[in-house]
Amino acid sequence: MPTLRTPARDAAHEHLRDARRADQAGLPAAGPLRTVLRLRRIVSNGRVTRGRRPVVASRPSNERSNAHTMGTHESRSTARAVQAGLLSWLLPGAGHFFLRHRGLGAVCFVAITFPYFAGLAFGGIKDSVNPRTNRWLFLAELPAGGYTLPSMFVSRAVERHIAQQAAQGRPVKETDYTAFYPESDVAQIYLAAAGLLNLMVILDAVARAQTGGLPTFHRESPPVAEPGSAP
Amino acid sequence: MTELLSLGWLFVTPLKLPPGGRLWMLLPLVACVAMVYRVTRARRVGTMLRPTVMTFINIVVGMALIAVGFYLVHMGVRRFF
Repeated sequence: MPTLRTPARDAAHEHLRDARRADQAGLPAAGPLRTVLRLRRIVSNGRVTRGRRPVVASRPSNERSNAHTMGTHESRSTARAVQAGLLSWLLPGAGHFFLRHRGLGAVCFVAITFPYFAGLAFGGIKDSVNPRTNRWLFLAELPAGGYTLPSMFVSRAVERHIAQQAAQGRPVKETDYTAFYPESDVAQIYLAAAGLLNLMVILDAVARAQTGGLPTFHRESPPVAEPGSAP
Repeated sequence: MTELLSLGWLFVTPLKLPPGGRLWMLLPLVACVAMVYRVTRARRVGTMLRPTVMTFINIVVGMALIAVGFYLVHMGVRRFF
C-alpha cells in the first residue's frame, strides 16, 4: 500500500530509528527522543507542510488528520465521562461541577445530601448503613458511594463499641442505637431514594460528558425552515 | 470540635419523628425527587424552577389520588364483604 512520504517524515523516521536503537542499547530517553516523538506526532497529524509536496498519497491528508482528531476526541470524551461518573459517585453533583454545570451540580448535591443524611439521622448509623443487617438497603445506598463507604466504617465502629460495652458488663440501651417504626421506615425510604437518585445523577453526568453538555433525555427541537425554502 | 461531636452523635442515636409527622416526611422527599428528575432534563439551572414545581405538584397530587383510590377500595371491601 502506498504511503505518504515527505522529507520531514523521512527525517523523522530516521531520527526515530536512531532513538529506538539508543533505547534498546539502554541509553536514557532524554531530550532528543522526546523531540523525535513530538516530531513524529506532528508528521502523523499532517501538520508539517514545509518542503516539497507529498510524492504519493494513499488518502487525502485532511481525512487522515480528521480521523486522528476524531479518535483523540473520542478517547478524551470517554475519559471525561469516566471522571464525571466517578466524581458523581464520590460526591453527588461533583460530576456536573466538573463539567462546568455548576448550578445543576449544586442542585444535585442538595437534593441527594439532604435525604441521605436525614435518613441517617432518623435511622441511626448502626443499622442504616450495614451490609450484614440490611443488605438490600446497603445495595440501594451504594450509588452514593462517597457517603455510604465512610458511614459503613462508622457503623462498624459503633458495633464494636457496643460489643465492648456489653463485654464490660455495662448495660446497652437498644433504643440509643436502633430505630423502630415509624422512624426506621422513613429512614429506609430516604436512604434508598437518595442512593438511587444519585445513580440517575451519575448516568446524567456520564451522558453530558459524552454529548458535550446535553441532558440525558434532551429533546432536539425540530429544524427551523429557512425563509423561502421549500417545505 | 464539640459541635462536630454532637453532629456525629446525631447519626449514632436515631432521632424521633414528631407525632403525626410521618406523612409530612413525604413532601421533602418528593421535592428532592422532582429536583433530580428535572436536573436530568435541564440544559441550565435557570430553566428548572417552574418544571420542578410542576413535577412536585404532579407527584403529590398523583400519590394523593392513589391514596384516595385505595381508601375507597378499602371502604368498599369493608362494606360489601
